[in-house]
Amino acid sequence: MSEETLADTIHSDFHLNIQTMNNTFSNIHDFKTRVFEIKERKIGITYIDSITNKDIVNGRIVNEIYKLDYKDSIVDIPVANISVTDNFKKIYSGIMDGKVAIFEGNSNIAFLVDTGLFETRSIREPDSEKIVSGSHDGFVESLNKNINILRNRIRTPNLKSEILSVGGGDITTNVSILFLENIANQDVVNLVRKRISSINLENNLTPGKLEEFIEDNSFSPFPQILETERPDRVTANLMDGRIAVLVEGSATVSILPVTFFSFYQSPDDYNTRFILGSFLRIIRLLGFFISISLPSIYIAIVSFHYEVLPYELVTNIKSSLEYVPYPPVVEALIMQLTLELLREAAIRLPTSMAQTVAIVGGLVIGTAIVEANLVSNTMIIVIAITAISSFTVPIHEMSSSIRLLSFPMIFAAALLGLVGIVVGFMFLMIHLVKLESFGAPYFAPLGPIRFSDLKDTIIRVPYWKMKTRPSTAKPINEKQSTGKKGWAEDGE
Amino acid sequence: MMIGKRFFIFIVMLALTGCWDEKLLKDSSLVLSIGIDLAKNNEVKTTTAIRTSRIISGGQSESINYIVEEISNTIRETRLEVDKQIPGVYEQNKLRILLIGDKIASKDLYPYFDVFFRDPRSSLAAKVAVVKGEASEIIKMKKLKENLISEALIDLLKSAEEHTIVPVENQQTILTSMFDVGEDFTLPYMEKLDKDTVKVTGVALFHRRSFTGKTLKGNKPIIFLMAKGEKSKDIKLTERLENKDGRNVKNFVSFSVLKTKRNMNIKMVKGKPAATINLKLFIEINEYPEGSLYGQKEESALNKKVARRIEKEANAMVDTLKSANCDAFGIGRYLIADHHKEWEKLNWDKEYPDMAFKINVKVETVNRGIIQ
Repeated sequence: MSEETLADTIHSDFHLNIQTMNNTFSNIHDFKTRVFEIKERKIGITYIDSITNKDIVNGRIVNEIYKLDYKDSIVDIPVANISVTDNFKKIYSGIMDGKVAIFEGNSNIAFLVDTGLFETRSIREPDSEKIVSGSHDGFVESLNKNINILRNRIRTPNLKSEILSVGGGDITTNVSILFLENIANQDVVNLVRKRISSINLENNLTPGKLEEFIEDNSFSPFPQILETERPDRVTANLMDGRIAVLVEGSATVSILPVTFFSFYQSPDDYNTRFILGSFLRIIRLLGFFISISLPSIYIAIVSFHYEVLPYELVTNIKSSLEYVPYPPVVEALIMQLTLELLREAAIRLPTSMAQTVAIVGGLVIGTAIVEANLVSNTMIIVIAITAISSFTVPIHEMSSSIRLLSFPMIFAAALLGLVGIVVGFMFLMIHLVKLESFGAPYFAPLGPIRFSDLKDTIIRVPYWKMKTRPSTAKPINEKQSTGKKGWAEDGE
Repeated sequence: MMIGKRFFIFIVMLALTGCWDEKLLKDSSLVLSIGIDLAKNNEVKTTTAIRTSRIISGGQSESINYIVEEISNTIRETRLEVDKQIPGVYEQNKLRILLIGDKIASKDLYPYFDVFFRDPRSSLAAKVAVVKGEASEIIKMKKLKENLISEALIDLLKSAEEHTIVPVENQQTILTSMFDVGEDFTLPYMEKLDKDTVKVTGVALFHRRSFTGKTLKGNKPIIFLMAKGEKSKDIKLTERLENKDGRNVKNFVSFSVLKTKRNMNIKMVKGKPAATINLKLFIEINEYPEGSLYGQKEESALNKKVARRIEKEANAMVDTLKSANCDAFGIGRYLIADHHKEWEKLNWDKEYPDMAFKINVKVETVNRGIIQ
């Protein structure tokens, strides 16, 4: 990235070195320089006060420097991590990482001692991905701590973590690629590494921006990279041979490659009995269809084909529709927009206020709008069911995507009725089947059909039955269990 | 860029078509029942019950019916006239019931049904019934036992169908029979008894496309349907025991038929058709005031008595069918299939009323209730 020129090498003049440092870090109030003269040795330390651990700086560095004898080397300072460099660029980035740079006399090398201390919040369960049973920890905004959490779960040297410095100019962000070397496919790892290192962005990097740079199709409504704050989900996906991308300063971990159905899996499925797990899966997939198509089906029926309704229902719906002044599509749009406004408002407000909004929105608007005959009762029910179904998706991003997709379906239904819905679904399916996530077909195992992967898609079979890992990430080691309960053969 | 432009034009063109084929539910006037009668000078009188609702108080509404009557040359013309006087668009695609007055039923029925069969949105599952007197009399009641007339009539017919009192027929099923020379159809028969009572009294017998004026009543419709092999959900019968007269409670037995077995034999005897139906009923005794059924002897005696009684009624029913020239069992259809040469020589309309046709009945008690 940065060519090392001769001008960047450390001078053999102590004062010139300190001068250079002061010039570079001028106007930085917490940049500290301290020069000692001990036993005729000139030693200078420089660091940024606010991001260094004072205990180490005082106790391990300053204290030890005072104790140095004539012949002692700086390397003898009792700290775990000390490196030597002769280049100013390395010193600059080291200082920004919270290291202490030590210059000595007229030597043209400097020492970097790792004393970095960046504040992080404590670990707690992410609000957007709650589960009932299982582990309740979540990632925080520190790359190191996040890797710590993952290493706690996967204790094998095969868990490789590469750090890439991504960015442009002198603004870089540390991005870590995590994978299990004995499972993950090296081709996919190389592809991810290549795409990430190609990013050139002179702005702060967040997982969202990173994903937009590396994903296959940015114009698709479907997320092709799974974002999660749950370590258990990341662990499970790493074990399937997928790759996790962590970005410094963000609690969100990106997992790739994924399929459409990855977004419908939740740790809860595996923490409950498999029958219940399968049931929950089916409920969620049902939620997908309901949230995309229920408003449009309702509109198609009441404005084109109400013959399909039994007459008891048709008279009920008709009496609720009778006095609404506009066509059903306008009703649906009003309700969907109100719902989105409420949702957005509730997210922005503190929890206590959000409840007030919910009451005003849900109860007051809900009843008043019906009594004023602005929206029919049935439409309120339809939109409420739609909203609730869209919230069943375990990953928030997918939930927003499918809610957004219901709008084009509403328009299609208003134009052409059920035919419009068929056309809408046709476009949707064509798109889903065509989509790829890092070489993996997005709609697998249904398109293309992969029978062995169906075991964990619409239903979930007992885990000891899952002999192979899913083939999405083309793992090099597919076997994960024998397909039997080990003890069953002993004739216990 | 080019693709983007084309896509944009495609979307805009879709939107420009507007909602030309939209048919909003809220703008339609739902017709739930229609009565057809013969008016003077061969004109048609239709009586239409239209469902709408009325706001009671904020958001709450109540269903109401209103009735429109119109006389014109054809059904379709009356429909146009009705449409001129009602709010909203006349929509008969939720039609539930079609009542036909006995006068108009006696004429060729098909011309009056044509408009229903021709319209693709028409509700062919609408039930059809023949009414003694004027169909409009029933529709005009507006309410029947506190229920809106259309719902009440449907429920009335449905429960009659479930108890195997009337055949399960609708517009669609009778269409094929209308054009079938080998089989005639039957329809439920309704009567308005007084100011607020309507009763399904039996089955109206048709010949080809017109009502013969003859009906089956009492237990006969049930026996007719059993002999036809059309047992619905349940069958309940009360029969007078043989050789006992008088209105004494002990002279009767009530039972439900759990299962029927029937077969029909059609033979050609000297170029003449002869039909026999063997009917076996498996019954459950519901009420037997006479008393004990303890022994095998009493039971088989009762079986025989009941069988003889039903057989008698069944053959009386056959006589009615023959006199009405209503081939409801579809014997002609069998002849067309199995004895085609002979069939071609037959004049079926003449032959049928005189053919040999017998029903044999056997009864077996399978359940006597929880007392012996």
